Amino acid sequence: MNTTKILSIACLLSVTLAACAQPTAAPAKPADAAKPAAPAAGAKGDPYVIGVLVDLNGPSSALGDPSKKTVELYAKKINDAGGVKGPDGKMHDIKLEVYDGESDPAKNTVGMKALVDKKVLAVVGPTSTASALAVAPIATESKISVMAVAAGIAVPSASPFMFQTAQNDANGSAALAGYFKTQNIKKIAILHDTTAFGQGGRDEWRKLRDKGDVAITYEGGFATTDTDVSSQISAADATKPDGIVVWTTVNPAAVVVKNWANLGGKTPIFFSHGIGNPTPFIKTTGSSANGARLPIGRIIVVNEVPDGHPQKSLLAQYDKDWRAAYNTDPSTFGGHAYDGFMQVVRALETAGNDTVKLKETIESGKPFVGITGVFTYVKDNHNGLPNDSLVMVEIKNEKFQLIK
Amino acid sequence: MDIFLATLPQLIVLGISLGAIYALIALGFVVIYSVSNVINLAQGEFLMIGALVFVAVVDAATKTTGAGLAVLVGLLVAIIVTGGVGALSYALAFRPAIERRASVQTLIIISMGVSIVLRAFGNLVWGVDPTSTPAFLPGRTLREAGMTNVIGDSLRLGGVALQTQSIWIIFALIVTVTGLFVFFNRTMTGRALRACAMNPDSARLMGVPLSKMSLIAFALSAAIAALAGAIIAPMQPVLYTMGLGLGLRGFVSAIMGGIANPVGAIWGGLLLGIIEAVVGGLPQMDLPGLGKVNPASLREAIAFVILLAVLIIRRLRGANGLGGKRFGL
Amino acid sequence: MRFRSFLPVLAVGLILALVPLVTTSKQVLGTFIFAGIYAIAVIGLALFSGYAGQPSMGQAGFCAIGAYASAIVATKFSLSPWLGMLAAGATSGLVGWLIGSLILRLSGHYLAIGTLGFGIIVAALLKQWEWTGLSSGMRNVPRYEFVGDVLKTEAGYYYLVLVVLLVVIVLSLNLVRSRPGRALRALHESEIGAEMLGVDTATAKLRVFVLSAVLGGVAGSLYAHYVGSITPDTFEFTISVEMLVMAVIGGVSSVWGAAFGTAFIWGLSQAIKALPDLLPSAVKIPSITQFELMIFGAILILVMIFMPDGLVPTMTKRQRR
Repeated sequence: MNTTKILSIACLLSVTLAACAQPTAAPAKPADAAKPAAPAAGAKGDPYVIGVLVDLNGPSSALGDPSKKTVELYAKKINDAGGVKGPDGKMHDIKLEVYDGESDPAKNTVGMKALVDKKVLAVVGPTSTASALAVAPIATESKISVMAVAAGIAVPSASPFMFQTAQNDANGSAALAGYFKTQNIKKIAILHDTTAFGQGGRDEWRKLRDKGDVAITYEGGFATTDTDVSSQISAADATKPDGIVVWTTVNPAAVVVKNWANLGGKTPIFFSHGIGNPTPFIKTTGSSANGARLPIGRIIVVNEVPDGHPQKSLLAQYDKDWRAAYNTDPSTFGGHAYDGFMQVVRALETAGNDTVKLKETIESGKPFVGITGVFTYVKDNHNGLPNDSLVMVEIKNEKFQLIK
Repeated sequence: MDIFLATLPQLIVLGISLGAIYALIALGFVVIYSVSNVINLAQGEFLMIGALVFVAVVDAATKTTGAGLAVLVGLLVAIIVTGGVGALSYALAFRPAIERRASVQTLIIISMGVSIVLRAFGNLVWGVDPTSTPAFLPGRTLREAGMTNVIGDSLRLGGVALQTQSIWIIFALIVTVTGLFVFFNRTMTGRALRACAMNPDSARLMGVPLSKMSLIAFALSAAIAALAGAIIAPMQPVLYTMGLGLGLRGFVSAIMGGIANPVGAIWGGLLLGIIEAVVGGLPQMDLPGLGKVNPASLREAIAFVILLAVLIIRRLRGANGLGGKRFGL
Repeated sequence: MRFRSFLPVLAVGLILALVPLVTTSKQVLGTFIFAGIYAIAVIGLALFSGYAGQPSMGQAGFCAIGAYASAIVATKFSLSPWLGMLAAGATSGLVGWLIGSLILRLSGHYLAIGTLGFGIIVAALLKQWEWTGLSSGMRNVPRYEFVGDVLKTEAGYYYLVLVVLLVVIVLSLNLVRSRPGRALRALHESEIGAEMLGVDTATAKLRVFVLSAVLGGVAGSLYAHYVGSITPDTFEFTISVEMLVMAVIGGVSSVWGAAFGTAFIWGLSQAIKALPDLLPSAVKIPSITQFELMIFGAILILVMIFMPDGLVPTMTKRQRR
């Protein structure tokens, strides 16, 4: 029996040692990556390290993957152009530290700590609301700004150092409710998934009902892992609403719209702004999504955005860059990461290595024209998006088309 | 409540077609467990690989061969490739462990490892975005052929909608069950497999190579999973995470039916499908502690409460599971 | 309990107590803290799985109940988080007793489905509970108070988790070696045999189920007050399955195995992520972010192939040879 104990101790000890080996290696990295600066380029400063904390596996990976790709694409572009000019007058390369949170708040928490160890100046991510809330205390404690791409309403107020670069439930429902007024749609049925996003949407619609903007004839939930939602659609149809409003993200939305079409598609159907990557959505739904309408970020209908619009040239540029790099259509999800990353980069020019100053620069109220919308972060508003950052589109002939 | 009763026939039809999918997945669990005593939690990932391969082949072949032939080619390739993946995972992961006399729990963990690797592989090769294929028999084709009671991709039968794809699912289930029956009763290999299922020790004494039989069982059940994956590809977003939810439902159906009992697995699948569909259509209710809740939001929980109640009540009466005999096709 | 059997616990405790002194890395401390919290739940799972001979697939459900009970006491009633931990253990123990009296009537794989179903039901119900914030869950859960802000520091919390873990290990080892423990072991070997020896198997099983629930609840409380926010998704059935992996890979039915298996899984997952940093700078490898989980799964399979009894039993057996 004694050997059991001795061995167990040895095992635990070895794990301890293996784990302890990490920190000694980690801080060494930035130093040795700071290769001797090319003499021709003049004095080059140490790279600015930025963390990318995204879910590349699990349910949130559809959002996390384009986030990572976008940040990598633009970090490379910036470095190819010589880097960021810091307040010290030197040029600094951007160095990314990527950590896969695997859609688990606990792993995201450890990931945030790992990024703090690596002395990142700011973090792009996390992907999900639960993870954003979990890393918020660490952001506050370490004074590192976190540019969350998560849509939850609680995100922007979770920490003084947390910013939100996605439209939340309130933005989305307000845009759709505004459209309903013009279409004389008064009675709606609500289908929502049982995630924080889906339930948040339902709660926003309840608020609109209490204000007298709409009447709700049916409310039904479904899990994002459900293989079929026809039952709820049948039940919703039976209450004879003017429209069915579905508050969910891409994959469940594809299930819902297919079920809806197969039940005859009798009632007009509306989705949330959660369907941020139209191409896979259309590939999945085929013609069954025709007729569906939803509010969405302008990047999806970039060609239909009028030329005078303040976002137009940036949208066109991002669209071009993304297509050139990845040969697919861009999504709003990548756009959220662009907005977070580029606002950090812009702030680095004045704040440099000072993370508190970086945060203050980001929330200084200077408008930022982004992919998601025109952001104005101030101290009390870390969402910073106006309601007109979404436009209404209709899916026609298997394409997202702007409703004019 | 009246509204609910009016939609009940529709819900039951839905439940049967859902249940048929679960039953098909559950059969894969049964085949592997019967022969090699492994509860293979990677069954859902076999389905995912099958579905992704199927979509890839159909996408590539449609342009050259036309939709109908593409589906056939896709099915064939998906079944063969996934069968190979199943055999490979047995040979690389399970056989070495079984040879070292691994326990049932150890084998479950190995199947977890296999599912982690396959999911990561699916993510790496196909990315994180969903995909899908058109229905095997698109509603448009039927309408062009002059059928009037077709809406979307579903048939209207007296006020009840039935997806054309559901007919294929039920057809596939019947074909699979018949195929298994013929295989296990009429062929030498099948009889040897059955012998392993009934009594591994005497099968070994009789000279049946257990390892080879297990390899066949893995290939066969991966192939069944691929068939299920291909057939639901037009109804579901196809992507690397799809195996989790479907695998879980197949697992529950299989265990409900007695894990080594194919007929039980079919009953288990149908029961689960019908419960899910009917609960999804229930009207809003007052639930103690939760206030006004739509039961649809609690579908998973309610399904499990019913399943567990069935199991416990039957247990109190002295029976286990849904009854039926061990591998008695 | 004899002093001799105390020794290894003391030794492990001392070694682990050194960790915050030799490293300031938040990642390392964070990993240890999570591993410690998980280990408490996994020891509970191993006690039940090991002695009932059936995998428990719902341990995260008890963690959820504990986490929510603790967070409710601390935030809704503004009471001491320590009372929260007490409430966590009590509530999940009570629920464990109620659920156990029902599902422990099942046997074999049906019991596995019973525990799986329990975990899924708990998560689904929490998603519908308005009072605790539906799927958004609860936030601003405060840390435990102890001598000012000691437990608000990373190292302070580390020592708290370590102490709780060591206490749990001592109690569990005690249970394993006690008369009821041996009765439970007999249960695993043969239920009928145990009954013939005069062991009330039903009661013994229920007791160990309640104990495993209490440990799950305590772990949940430690989680909630560490992270500061909880959602129903945090405790989904995939986490239960992960805990089962930790128990089996360490060596199910072994208290040390559960603790070590948990440390191994957490350590492995973080070590793979840190691999490019761990290698000497002369060896340049491209980003492995995409391959992390594949490597993780492959190592999991290999360990189980070559150590089918789990890490701890296999290693001790080799040592003895």
